[in-house]
Amino acid sequence: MHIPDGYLSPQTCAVLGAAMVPVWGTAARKVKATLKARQAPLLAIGAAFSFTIMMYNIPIPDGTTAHATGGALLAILLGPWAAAIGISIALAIQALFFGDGGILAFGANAFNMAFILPFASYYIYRLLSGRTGLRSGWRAVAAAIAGFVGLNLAALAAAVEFGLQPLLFHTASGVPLYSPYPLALAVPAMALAHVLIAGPAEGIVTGLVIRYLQRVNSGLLRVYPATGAVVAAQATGDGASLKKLAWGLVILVLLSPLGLLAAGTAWGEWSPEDLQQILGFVPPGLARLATTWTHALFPDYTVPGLEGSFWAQALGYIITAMVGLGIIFLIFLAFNRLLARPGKTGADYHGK
Amino acid sequence: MGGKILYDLQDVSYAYEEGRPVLDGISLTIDIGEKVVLLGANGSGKSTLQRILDGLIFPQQGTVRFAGKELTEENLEDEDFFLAFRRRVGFVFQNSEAQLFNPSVREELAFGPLQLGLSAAEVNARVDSLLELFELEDLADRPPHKLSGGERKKVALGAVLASNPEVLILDEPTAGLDPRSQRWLVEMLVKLNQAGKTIITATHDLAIVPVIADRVFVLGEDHRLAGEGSPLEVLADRELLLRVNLIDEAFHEHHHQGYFHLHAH
Amino acid sequence: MANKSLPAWLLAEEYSPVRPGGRKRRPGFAEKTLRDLAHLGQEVLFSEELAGRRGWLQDLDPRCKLLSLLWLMVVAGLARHPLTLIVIYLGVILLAVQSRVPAGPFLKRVWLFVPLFTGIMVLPSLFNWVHQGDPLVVLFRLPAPLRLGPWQVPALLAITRQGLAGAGMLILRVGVAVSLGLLVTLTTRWAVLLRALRVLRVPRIFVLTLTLTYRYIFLLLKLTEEMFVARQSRLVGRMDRRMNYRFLAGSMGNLLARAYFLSEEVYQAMLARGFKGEVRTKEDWRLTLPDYRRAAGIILAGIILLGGDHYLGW
Ligand SMILES: Nc1ncnc2c1ncn2[C@@H]1O[C@H](COP(=O)(O)OP(=O)(O)O)[C@@H](O)[C@H]1O
Ligand SMILES: [Mg+2]
Repeated sequence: MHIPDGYLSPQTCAVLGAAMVPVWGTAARKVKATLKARQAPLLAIGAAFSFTIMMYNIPIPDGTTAHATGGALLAILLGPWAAAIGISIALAIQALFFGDGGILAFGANAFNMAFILPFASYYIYRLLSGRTGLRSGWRAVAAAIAGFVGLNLAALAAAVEFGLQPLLFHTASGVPLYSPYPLALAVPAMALAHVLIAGPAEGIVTGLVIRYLQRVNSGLLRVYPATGAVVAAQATGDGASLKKLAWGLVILVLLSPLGLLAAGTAWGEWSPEDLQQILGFVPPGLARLATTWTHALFPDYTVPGLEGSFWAQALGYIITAMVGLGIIFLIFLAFNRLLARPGKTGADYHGK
Repeated sequence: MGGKILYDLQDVSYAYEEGRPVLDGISLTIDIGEKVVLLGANGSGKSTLQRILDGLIFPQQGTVRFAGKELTEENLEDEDFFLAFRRRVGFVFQNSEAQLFNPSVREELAFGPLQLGLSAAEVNARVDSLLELFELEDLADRPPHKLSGGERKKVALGAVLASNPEVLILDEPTAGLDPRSQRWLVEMLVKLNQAGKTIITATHDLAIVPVIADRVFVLGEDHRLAGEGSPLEVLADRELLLRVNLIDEAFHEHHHQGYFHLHAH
Repeated sequence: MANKSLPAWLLAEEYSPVRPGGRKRRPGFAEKTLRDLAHLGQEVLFSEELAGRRGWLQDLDPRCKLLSLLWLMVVAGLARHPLTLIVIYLGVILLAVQSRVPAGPFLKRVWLFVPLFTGIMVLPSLFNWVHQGDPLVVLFRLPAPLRLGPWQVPALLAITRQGLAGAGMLILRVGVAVSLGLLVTLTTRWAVLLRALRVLRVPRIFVLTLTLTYRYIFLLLKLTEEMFVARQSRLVGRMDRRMNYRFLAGSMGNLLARAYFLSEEVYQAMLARGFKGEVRTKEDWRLTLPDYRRAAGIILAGIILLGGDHYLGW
């Protein structure tokens, strides 16, 4: 899932990179509040761990092997914010020093694997494990499911990024400039690969290690959420950080038309008819899904009276982005609510 | 001996897990310019005691005073206190792997002085002179993970010396080194002590004790202070060494000869 | 203790002779992991060695180099005409030659890898069944559009002009991007590159963490390798899946526990040397005139290329 350079337009990479800025900022602040000076070594070693785990070949049920990211595991153990930084750093090192994943595409890769993956996995794990004991067998299963689902959601994000490329960026004669597959093809193709191969690898790694730690080293399962004092500190910080995150998202939404500027005329020429053509030869079931998706997001954006003008399109882009981000935000809010119910967990753990 | 007191520990106890003390009621004093050895079997609590002396962890019971000031977590939160203390005390960890966290030997040596806020020129001068003193010039740009154990230990010591501390705490400095590196290290420690540094070494290597100690504190397996005295007194006290499990019955016959003469100059 | 006698089983000698005759062993996940680890080690050695040589890019200030090559990547990313990409690639080759990067490995790494992976990935998009376009090469024509249950397939199967052009663009673009990335990696010592990141306004704490990470990756990789080698050397029977998973869980859990413990130690080691969450680093690089000239040259070339690309249209 490490997207190399060239598959995504620089505009897409810039937008996703900008999306990561508030995430990184909030993560740095949160982690600093909880870990203080301890943060650098802990995060560094988390990142090094994630990097090393990506080197492991995991045997998967079909008899071959696959790589896992270790991101879900890191999120469950150190919390999603610390994991976001740790994985980002592992990805940066892979891109910069080992040519694994693009340098410009770093923002996109970070968005998928260092944002979607750890947050989705963490909240799924918390939701599934509920009030079960730290050593309950169900927790390992919950971790495996969280790893599997989290990775597939990250893959879905990547698929959407791929799938938007031919719609947004092609020449006047229809030559795709970047990844050529529309959503209707990119999503099922990525889904297949990740449901069958990468997802199981991630699930296996997450579940196995959690089960191992339950037996051998349950102290590591108590690292996050941290002590009562820290939880309190987090609680007071929460309002501010949510505000910051919200501001970041607003800026992001306002920035999104930048993608348009460079997309130039290609964007303007694009019409629902083109869409029909592109989507013409896929299973109708999927096509319906795809068209509802694309219709909901794209063709209806023009504001009456402003059709065709650049500003109309920019506005459309902003509205689209707002809807998309709004959905993500609501999902996380819902999770937060659901998780807040069981009360302040973990406050009684952790000695000196 | 009889100089000004640097460290004053009263009834210090520490436990990583409640109910299982790793140090139990330790009281001792260390003078300025003294060289002392903490002697004890594996797991007796030497490293823990050194971490307390370096203000990295804090005892649950008892008090630790450094130069008359109490070492507590609160006091170390104070910026000036923190910097002054860190400046005066250097700690060479047993695990150089953990200690060497910079990407090259040169940067490793520069880390301490840079935290002290020295100018770039001063830092460079210090680093160069250390490279020369330790004969590390050829390794200056190597990453620490490509060094041998002996080289790593040298760099770790150099990195700590770079901020010119007044007190040096060393945790099993000779463990895993070949005889030549051991000798180099021991001689360097003696030289530093003669230059006025206080040297606090934890070890279970009886052979080096007479050279690097004016005074020896023996930690028992019950995590209490089992004995104290000059190296000759302690090493001659077979009864004591047997009790703290540093030697067994067979030890005397087999090793006596070699040990006491190894480092006599 | 020493006078206890050894148990009987330890004295028995029942070994089968050492001779071939079994099934061929397929490389399993452990062999693959070990191979990958070895490969990674070689990569690091190769690039450290190259970065140590003198050359056009090696002599360029790392900040200038990072920014100017990054700019070239953006230009390559924005290019809409294949000619632009080809010109950039020629420039990349020139830079590589000037920096004494050996041509063989440099070309091979890119042009063996990219067509293989990217090529296979774009292959289906050549055909009109997947991506609509003007037919260029007609492969065959059915009497009528085909309906296979829910699937509808048009009568004509052809390679399209758009498909071919798009595939060519993608392969070229990925090739150029990968080459540029490789140039950065191969001509900069990583310790220097990390410090150059400061210019990109990457916050100190990230750079410090990145530095520490790079340092500890090697330790964790070594631990991993030791665990895998130890497993291989103690492999006295065939392993079933359960045992493999148990080993994986054990080695990863062990790695994690040691890593966590290590992070505590590193933290204390840093604290012991006066670290308070804020690092001071040595930044005594000065930009020289040649640095400015070279960086300006690359940036200007990029601007001209972008202009040309715009002019070529398409
Ligand atoms: N971080 C830790 N957490 C829990 N127990 C520890 C930790 N470090 C040391 N111990 C335990 O404390 C005891 C004393 O350890 P240590 O001070 O390292 O002894 P020594 O240095 O004399 O070998 C040992 O039993 C060890 O297992
Ligand atoms: Mg010890």
